[in-house]
Amino acid sequence: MAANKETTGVIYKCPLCFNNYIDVPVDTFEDGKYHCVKCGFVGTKEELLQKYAEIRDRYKLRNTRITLEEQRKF
Amino acid sequence: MQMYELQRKVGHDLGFKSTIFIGLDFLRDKEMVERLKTDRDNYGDEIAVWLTSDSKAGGGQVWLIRREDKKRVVKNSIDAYIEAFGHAPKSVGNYVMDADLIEIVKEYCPEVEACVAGCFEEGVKVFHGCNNSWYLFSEGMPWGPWYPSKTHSARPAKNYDDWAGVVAVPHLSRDLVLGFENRNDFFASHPANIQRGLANEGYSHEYDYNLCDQYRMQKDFNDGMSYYQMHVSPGWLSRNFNIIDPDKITQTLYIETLQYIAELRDNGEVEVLTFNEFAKEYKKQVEIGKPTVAFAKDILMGSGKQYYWICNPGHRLLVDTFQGGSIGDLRPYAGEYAAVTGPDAKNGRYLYNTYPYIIQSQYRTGYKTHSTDGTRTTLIMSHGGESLDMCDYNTTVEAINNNGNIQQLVLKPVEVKFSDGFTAKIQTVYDFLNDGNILITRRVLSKSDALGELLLQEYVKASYGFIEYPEDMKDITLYCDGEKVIDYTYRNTQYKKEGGKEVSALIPEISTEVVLRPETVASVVTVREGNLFSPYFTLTAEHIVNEDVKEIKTWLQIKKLQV
Ligand SMILES: [Zn+2]
Repeated sequence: MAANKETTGVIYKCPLCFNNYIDVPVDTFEDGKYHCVKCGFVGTKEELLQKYAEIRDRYKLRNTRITLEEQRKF
Repeated sequence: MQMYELQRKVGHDLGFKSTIFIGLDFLRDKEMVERLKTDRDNYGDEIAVWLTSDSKAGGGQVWLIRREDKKRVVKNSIDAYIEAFGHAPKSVGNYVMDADLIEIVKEYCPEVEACVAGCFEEGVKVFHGCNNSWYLFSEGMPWGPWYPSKTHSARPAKNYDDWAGVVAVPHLSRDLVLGFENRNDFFASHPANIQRGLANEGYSHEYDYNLCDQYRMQKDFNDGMSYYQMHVSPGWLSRNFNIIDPDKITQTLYIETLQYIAELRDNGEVEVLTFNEFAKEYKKQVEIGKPTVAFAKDILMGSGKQYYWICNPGHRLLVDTFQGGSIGDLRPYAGEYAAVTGPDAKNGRYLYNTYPYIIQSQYRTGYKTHSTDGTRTTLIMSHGGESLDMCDYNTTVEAINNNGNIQQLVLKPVEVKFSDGFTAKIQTVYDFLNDGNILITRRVLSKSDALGELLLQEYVKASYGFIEYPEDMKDITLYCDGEKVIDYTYRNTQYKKEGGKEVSALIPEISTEVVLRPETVASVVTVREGNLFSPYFTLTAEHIVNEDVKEIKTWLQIKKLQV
């Protein structure tokens, strides 16, 4: 899977596959959009980033520090 | 190499003694060996062997090759190590080491004391997550260090004679909740993998610290002992195709997580050891057969879920408080199922260093969601012709008590209400014995009407398996009071006996017998096979809760079946 050229080496993954925790890189095609080899996802970079933000949202405590003492009472 | 240099510098700047695992290529690289020797002498680093397959064996992974190939690979690596460093290695490892590989290492190089030998629940979910390309099936083992047995490296030894002779450690420390519910690789003591799972947000990575503390908390339940390990290959820190974040973020999260551990060390909260130092310390502090428990609380999703894990030589078991405190995962170690991996493994189970389950509610349904329920336990509570299922109620952990080799779990009482208004308050208590015996106590704390009718049925639905698909069950036989009553033929037959003393299932494929035995004679016991659309067996024991009955006790026993 080639690196997406305009993204300084970052290889994006398919957000639809990732919804089920399946890691599949997406590639850019001639239409300039990202396509998934495993499923029917197609989208722009903006759509990709938006979907990643939605995926992160499932981790409601991702920005919350829960110290040892707090975990004991959790 | 640049990333290795980064790791080396960060480790030494923080005053860590690291264990550096290297494969055969680097063991034969003179320049690399000189650098490693310098670090060993100046910083106390330990140099260990990362065992890898070779082309003669067909490549792939070292635990998945033939026994004769494992022997050659071990010999070549150990010989190269001795040639390079002038002494034998003390630690070796790979993602998985099966019983054969450990035996071969120990025979060829008795000086080896520590092995990286497996990783908690790495298997089906990681396989799926890697788009079905990561053929590593090693589930059903301890989440922390263990003394591997001679016949299955995932099973902790029951005594000295049963012990393979090394201290095994997991490759990483996995989230004790998400390792069960989700991908074992994303949610682990490996900052780059957490980025891979998108559980950071740029430079914000609280979960790395929270996970470390999840493991620190386990000291509370294990006589002050808990183990946490970061094991990161240089390739994860730059241009790793799995990670969306820029390298700067990846490297910063790695460094900051190590800084947190250094801070804990400086405050005397944790001790930082090399593998070999740890193995020595573990042998001093932990005797063979000692149970380990874990109290797992969700620290990422925000679900409020709690699980309880117990691991002893008799079983590894998970209690799911969200399903009424039923058993959600049970690995019957007392059955001493023996396995090695590789093309010469028995029964065609080439791939599985998994210790088989008899209950696995993630792979084999658990509480009914679609067609029928699957592997699980529960308590069926009946009154006035109506039955309620304990799995419908949430509870939480009230107490975790440690009585030497008997571990006790007390759950918060659950109040159940029937449609005619009758209520009962029931508390579940588990006692886990080291030999695979589990005592389930259901305390009837109150009933809204002391004379009201109440029937309590202990219910165990099980099967056996390694992955999510069912195995052939035709060799299973079902017994009642010592008499064979059903040969498993997928006909959904049930056998019922009033005043029965015990029901059991014999599973020759995994050399295991599962017994449900009420402490006092039950009013009715039943045993049932399944069919191909519901490939399970069910054992039940029902009690009438009269006015004078304050609790019922039932043994769930795991025994070794001579086959
Ligand atoms: Zn896709």
